[in-house]
Amino acid sequence: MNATPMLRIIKSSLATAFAMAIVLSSNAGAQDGLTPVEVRNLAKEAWLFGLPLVMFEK
Amino acid sequence: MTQPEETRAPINQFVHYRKFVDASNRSVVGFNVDNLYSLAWIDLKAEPLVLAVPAMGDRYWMMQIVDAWNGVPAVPGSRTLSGKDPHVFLIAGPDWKGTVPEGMELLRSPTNLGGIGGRTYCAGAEDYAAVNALQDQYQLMPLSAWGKRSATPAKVPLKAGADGETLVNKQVMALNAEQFFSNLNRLMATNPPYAADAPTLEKLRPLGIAPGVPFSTEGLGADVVAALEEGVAQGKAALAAEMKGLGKMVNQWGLTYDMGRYGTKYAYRAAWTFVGIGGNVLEDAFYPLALNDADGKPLSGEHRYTLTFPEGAWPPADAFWSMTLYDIEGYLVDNPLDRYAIGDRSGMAPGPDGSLTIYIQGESPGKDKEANWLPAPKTGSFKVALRLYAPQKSVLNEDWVPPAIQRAD
Repeated sequence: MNATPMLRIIKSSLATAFAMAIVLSSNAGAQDGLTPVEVRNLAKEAWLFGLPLVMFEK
Repeated sequence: MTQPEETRAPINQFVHYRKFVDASNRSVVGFNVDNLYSLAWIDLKAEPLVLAVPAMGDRYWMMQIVDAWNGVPAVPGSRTLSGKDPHVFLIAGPDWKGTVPEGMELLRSPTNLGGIGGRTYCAGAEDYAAVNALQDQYQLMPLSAWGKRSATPAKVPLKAGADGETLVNKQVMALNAEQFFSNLNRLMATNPPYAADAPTLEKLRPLGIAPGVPFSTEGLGADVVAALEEGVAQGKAALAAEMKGLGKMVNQWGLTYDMGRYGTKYAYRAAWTFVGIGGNVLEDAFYPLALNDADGKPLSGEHRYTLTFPEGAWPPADAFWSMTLYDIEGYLVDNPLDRYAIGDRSGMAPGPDGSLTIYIQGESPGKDKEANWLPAPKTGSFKVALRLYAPQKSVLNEDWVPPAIQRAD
C-alpha cells in the first residue's frame, strides 16, 4: 500500500535522520574499525595533507 | 598590538615594508632587494574585502592572493593590467553570493582565510618616497565600509591565544596528533579543500578527518593513540625528506616550475609551505637558487667565480631580473658598495661578443669590471638567487636555464 504524503515525509525524515546518525556515529568513533597500522598510515597522509591549512592559521 | 607595526598588522590590514633590509638585518632571511612588500592576512568569512590600487604608471607591481592551502587563486598586477587607471578588486570567500558592485573586479578565494602578498618595484633608497606614497594609497577594507567615511580601526587586538613570537613552523611541529587533527577539521569547515582533494578526503574519513567534525582521542585505545602519533612522526619525517629534494637541479641551480600549483602532491605542497607561504606562480616569477659551482662544490668566499650569460641568452624577463647574494643562512652580506644584488637595471657592461659576465667574489675585480661585480663574503659559504619577474616563454617551457657558475681561480 502506498503511504500518504505525510507518512512519506515522516519516513523520509526518519531515513535522513537514520543516515545522519550513521554518519555521525562513524565519525565519532572513526578510528575504531582501523588497525593500528592503518591508523598510522592514514595519520601520516592526513598530516601532510593538512599542514598548509594548520600552518596558515598560526 | 593595535596598529600595523613594521612587520605585523591585525588581520584584514596591510603592513607595508617601507625600505629594504641591509646586511645588519638578522631577522628576515632571503629578503629581496627588488620589491617592497605590502602584506596582509585576510579573513573573508564575515564579508568580502575591497582592495584598491591606484594608477601605478609603468611601475611593476602585483597583489598576489594566497589561499589557506598555499595556492594562488589570483594575481592582479602589472603583468596583466594597465597602470594607467586605478583598479578596485573584490576579494570574496567561497560562499559569498552577493552582487559585485559596479567597477569592481571579483577575485574569488576558495578559502576564507588567506593572504595578500603585495609587491611594488623599488629602485633603491632614492625610490623609497615614491613607493611609500603608492603603498599609502593601497586600500583594504570590508565591502560594507567601501565608499563610506571610515578609518582603519585603531584598536584591533591580536587573535586571542595567538603566539606572535614563536616561529609558525615550530608551533605547528609542536602540536600532537589530537591538536593537529582537531585544528584541521575545524579549519576545513570554513576553508574547504579543493575539488581534486575529494578522493583523499574520502580515504581519510575513517580516521575521523572531515570538515567540521570534532576530533578527539578520548576513549581510543592506547595502541590507536600511539599509532596516530607515529603517523604524525612519519609525516614529519616525510616532510624533511621532501624538503631535501625540492625543485630540479640543472647546472647546479635548483629550479622550481610549479610553485603555488601543487595539485594533489601533498608532501610537496607541505614542504613548500614549510619553506614559506606565498610563493609566486611561474608566470609571475622564476627563482633559480645556486649553492654550488659548476663542479658541485659549495660556493665559498675563499674563491672567485664568474657567471656568463651568452649573447641572446641573458635572463629572459619581461619585467626585470636580479641576482642577490646571501650568506649560507640567507642574510645579505656587508660590502663596500652596499650592493646586495645585481641585474638588468644595474648598468652592467656586456662583453664584446654580446655576452654578460657577473663577477662573484669578495674583492673588487678591478675598476673596469666593478659594474659587473656582485660582492661575496671574503670567507665562508654563500648562495645566490636569481629572480626573473614576468619570465618569458623560454622559461615557462623550460628551454632557458641559467648556466653554471664557474670557479675562476
